Amino acid sequence: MSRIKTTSSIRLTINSNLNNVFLVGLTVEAICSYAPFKEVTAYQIGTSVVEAVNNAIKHAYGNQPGHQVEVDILLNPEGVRFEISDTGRPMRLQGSHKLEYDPEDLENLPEGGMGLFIINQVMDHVEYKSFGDRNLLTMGKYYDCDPQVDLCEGD
Amino acid sequence: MQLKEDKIGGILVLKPLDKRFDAHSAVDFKARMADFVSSGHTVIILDLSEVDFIDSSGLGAIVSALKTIGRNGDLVLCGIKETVMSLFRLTRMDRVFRIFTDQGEATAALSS
Repeated sequence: MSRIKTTSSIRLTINSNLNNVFLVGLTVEAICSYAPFKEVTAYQIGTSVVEAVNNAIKHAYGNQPGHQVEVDILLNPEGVRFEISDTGRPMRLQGSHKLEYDPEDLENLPEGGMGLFIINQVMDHVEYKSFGDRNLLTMGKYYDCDPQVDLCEGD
Repeated sequence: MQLKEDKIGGILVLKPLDKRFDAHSAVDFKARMADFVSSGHTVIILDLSEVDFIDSSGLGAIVSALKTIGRNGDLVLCGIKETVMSLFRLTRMDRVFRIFTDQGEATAALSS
């Protein structure tokens, strides 16, 4: 387990093609595995960032390649923060963080709309803003292991 | 998506060989599952033991397959890793699907 005493950052930029999203996912999972997160938390953070990037490609850019999605990752002594930005169509997020369904009701099981729910369940802080021609989703997660010790309870 | 196919009696066992089951692979998976069902395979075990990562699109594709099979067949899951399982729990999909440890357990349950 590392001890993170200063803020470090990296920017990932991908073309708006779903083929490329795994590169972001793998990078985020590796960084979060290095940071003081439990294994399941690191995995779920990776999933949340993948969901956010998928949303930018699918909804902001309408699945059209040739646009950029930027992911800034900031690792600081308290936690990790992600800033996912695009220049596509702003998203309507109202009510999107709910996932209510009856597991027995086969015909009405959800096939979509789970991404924002996952993000809101996993992350401690989620904020979406549109300004000028840019949309910015900021997500933060505090460490769930003690940064000062080498072993994480629950791993 | 690469899928390994096996038949055990009347049961079709499908094992995705890709490590990541994501929005990119979900579209192909949905189409392949629809083909399997339309060709008469309505009792299916989906072995996810090779899958390290699944996102909401992957989950949605598995739900879509379950709906395509409907109430006259069965789709059960097995071999799910703990990290992947955490996403099933988070979205309550662990209450939608019958989930078994491995192919042997799933086959026994479907054969009984």
